[in-house]
Parts: sequence; structure tokens; C-alpha cells
Amino acid sequence: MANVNIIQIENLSKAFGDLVILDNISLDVKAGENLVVFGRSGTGKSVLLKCIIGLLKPDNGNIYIKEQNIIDLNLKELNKIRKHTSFLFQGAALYDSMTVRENLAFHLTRNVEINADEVEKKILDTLDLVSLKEAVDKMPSELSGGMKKRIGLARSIITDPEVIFYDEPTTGLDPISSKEISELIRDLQKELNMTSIIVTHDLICANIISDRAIFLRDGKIAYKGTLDELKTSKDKFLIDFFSKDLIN
Amino acid sequence: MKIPHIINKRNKTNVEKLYNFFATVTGLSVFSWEFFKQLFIPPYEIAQIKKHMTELGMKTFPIVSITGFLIGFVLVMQSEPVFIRFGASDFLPGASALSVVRELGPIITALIFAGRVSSGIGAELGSMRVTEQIDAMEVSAINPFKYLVVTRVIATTMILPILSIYVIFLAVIGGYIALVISQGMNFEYYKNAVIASIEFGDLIPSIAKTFVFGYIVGIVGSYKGYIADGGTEGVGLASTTAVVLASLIILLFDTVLVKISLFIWPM
Repeated sequence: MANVNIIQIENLSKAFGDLVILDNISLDVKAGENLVVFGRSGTGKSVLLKCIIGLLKPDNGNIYIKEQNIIDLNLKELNKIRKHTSFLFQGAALYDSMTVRENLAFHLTRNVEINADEVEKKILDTLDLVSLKEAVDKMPSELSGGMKKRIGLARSIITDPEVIFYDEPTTGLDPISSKEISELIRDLQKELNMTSIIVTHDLICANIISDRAIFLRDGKIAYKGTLDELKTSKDKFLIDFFSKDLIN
Repeated sequence: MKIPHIINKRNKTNVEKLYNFFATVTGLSVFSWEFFKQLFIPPYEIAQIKKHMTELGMKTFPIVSITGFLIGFVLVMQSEPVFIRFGASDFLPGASALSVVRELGPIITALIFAGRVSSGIGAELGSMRVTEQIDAMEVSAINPFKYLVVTRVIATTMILPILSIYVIFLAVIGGYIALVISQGMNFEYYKNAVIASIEFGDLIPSIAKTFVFGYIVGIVGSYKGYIADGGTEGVGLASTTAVVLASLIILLFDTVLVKISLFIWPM
């Protein structure tokens, strides 16, 4: 399973008007792998994730998830694929009008056939994984930024997805919370054997999580390799990027 | 569903304003088409519809109660000297009740409902859009249009006729109180005069059109919220433009529906 490509992207392009965001990108992600996507702000990292999950329609190219080209799928077929994937948004995107329990139950009961007793157990078990069992009856407005991310993570994993997409999972958090969330993502990935694509600027997060990294620049994959390979590259741009990140 | 993009910037040119007008008309048409397409597709989200009906009903209940009573009260106070001047004071109970039933009750309830509910739906869905909650539903294989829009539009369509009947009732009571104060009117006389003046052709079209007004309030509020962008400013814009647009469309449709009802049930 480890060497099977769970996601394959071929010649993906996306532009907004005259502004080209992604230019002929090809990429493979293996099952169980953690791929980190780097790039400066506005280089199309989030756009790449949103194209893969079908929130944005690419102008050109093919995206295969579990060998199905999602470009050719209608909404019903795409939703069948989406039941095996999950997405952690930058701001966690918890539903304001629901409690933490309802947030988790909402995704679970609509995607998995499960009875009411099992729902409650699954919610509490998942909250236990992110160490926030006590927040089960809280509203999102009562949670801190770090707690929201954890609950967002719990909501993402409650359906036991095969692939998770993380859009800046540590943005806005202090370094300690950032490290905790990153370790949590790594531990969950190991425990549940999920495939992850993580968009981030955060080098601490990338250090903890990544198996492999790519760097987007001018709409293309400018660099790829392990994080160590990128960090030790002699390329001036990468040296600047990583050194500035370390100073910050 | 492909909704035309609205140009959201300050100091728009006349061409951009014209484009936005046509984009809004097209967007609302596409949105309405999508609503009717998804209306009969399960899941029907009955619990959500009930929840929205209760919330929207409770939210507007106090304000429509006060307004309903005052419409009838003020209408009779204003009309009384005019009717006396023309020697037609005997017709006042029936005439005021007819005005309330045929036009004032439904239209004022609809405009208040638009102000209270359309803006609320616009702000709520707008906020969900800019904080990616709608996207979160979509990527989780949950149909956000069905869950958020269809349920709200059904709720507004069903609740407005109920509120309108309630407002009409209170307005008629308000008219009676005004006549008791000014003339010490007998309730039995007032009741008989009102019942004698209102016919089937008065009541049915006026209630029927409130279903349309309710639909307009729901669909416009949902549309404006669903397409919101640009952060908190976008949410504010969605909320305010929803009220203006819903009120305007209600008045336009009222004109057309009055004409149609007069054609079907001539006076």
C-alpha cells in the first residue's frame, strides 16, 4: 500500500482572469505519506488544495484520487470520493451555531452509517485523541484559537478518512501550540495511517510532519525533495526562504 | 450551479453598476432554479425546516404584533374624519378591514419580515461563507445548498402567511379599539360590519401572495449571503443589500400579483 499513488495530479493549471496561479503542475502523493507544500503567500498553495478536493475547477489537467479522475465526476460521484477525504481549514471552519458535539456528529452521521450510541462514543473517543473531551458541550465562540484547531482536527478525523488536507494548520498559533498541533497531526497520521497534504509556512510544523516537501513558485513546483534536501539546498531563493523563516 | 460574479468595490463605474444589475438578476434566477431542482430531492431536512420556522416566527413575532395592532388603529384614526366628511362613517369598519385584508396587512408584514429576516439570513450565510463553513460542508460531502438555503426558503415561505393572518387579525382589533375610543362602538356591530364586507375573493389572493413574499425574503437573503465575499465588509453588504433587494422585489411582485388577483377575482 505504501508505494501506491493515492493522489495523482497531471498538468494542472488554474488562473483567475489574467493571473496564472498554477501552471502545468504534476504531482504524485503516495498512500500514507505526509507531503508538505511550501511557498510564499499568494503562490497558489491553498488553490492547489481546493482544486484537489473539487472546491475549485481547474482550467486544465487531471486530478486522480484513488485512481478516479475527479474532473470527470458529477457532484454525486465526487461526494463518494469526498467521504474518504477530509479538510482542515485555516480557521478550522467550525459551525458557529452548533456545539462541539453537534459539529462532530454532523459530519459523522451524514457520512457513516452508525447508530446513536456509537455516535456518542465515537465523538468522545475522537475528542480524547485531541485532549479536549471536556469541550464537548462548548460552542465554538467559547474556544481559543488552538482549541478550535484541535476540534477542527477532531472533526476532520472522525470519519476515518484516508486522505486529509491541511490548510495552514498552525497559522495564528503561538509556537508551543503550533508544536503541539503539529505533533498531534503526526501522531494521528501514524496511528490512523492517513495520507496528508499540508500547506504551511511554518517550519516547525514541517519539521515535525513532513516525509516529503514541494515548493511552489510562479505557479510551478520549483523544488521538491525531503525537507532536509530543501533546507540544505544551495539555491539562493530557498536559502533566503528558510533562513528568514528560522529568524522569525 | 454557476452564479455570475458581482463586482464588489467602491466607486463602481456606470458600466460596472449595469453589469452588477444583470448579474444579480441572472444570479437570483439561477439560485431560484437550483432551489426548485433541489426541493424534491432527499434528504428533506424536516428538523431544520421546523427549527427555522420556529426561530423566524419567534424573531418577528413581537414586532409584527405591535405593527399589526398599530396599522389598524392608525388607519381608522386617520380615515374617520375623511369618512365623516363624505358622510360615509357607517362604512368605516368594513372599509378599513378591507384595506387591511387586501393590501396593508400582507405588504407591511412582508416588508417588516424582509427587514428582520432577509438581513439575518444574509448575515448568517455571509458569515458562514467568509469563514469557510459552507466550503467545510461541501468538502465533507454534505450539500450546503440543501441544508442551508432550501430549508430557510421553505421556512420563510411557510411562516409569512401565518404571520400575515395574525397581523390582519390584530389590525382589525386595532381598528375596533380606535372606534371604541372615538365613538364607543359596539363590538357586535363592528364584527358584523367587518364580516359582511370581506368576501372570499378578498382573503384568498391576499394570503396567497404572502407565500410569494415569503419565498422572496428567503431566496434573496440566502442568495446575498451565499455569494458574499470580502470578509466582514462583505457580510455587512450582504445583510443590507438583502433587505433593500427583497423589499424592492416584494413591491414589484405585489403590483403584478394585485393585477392578476383583480383579473381572477374582479371587485
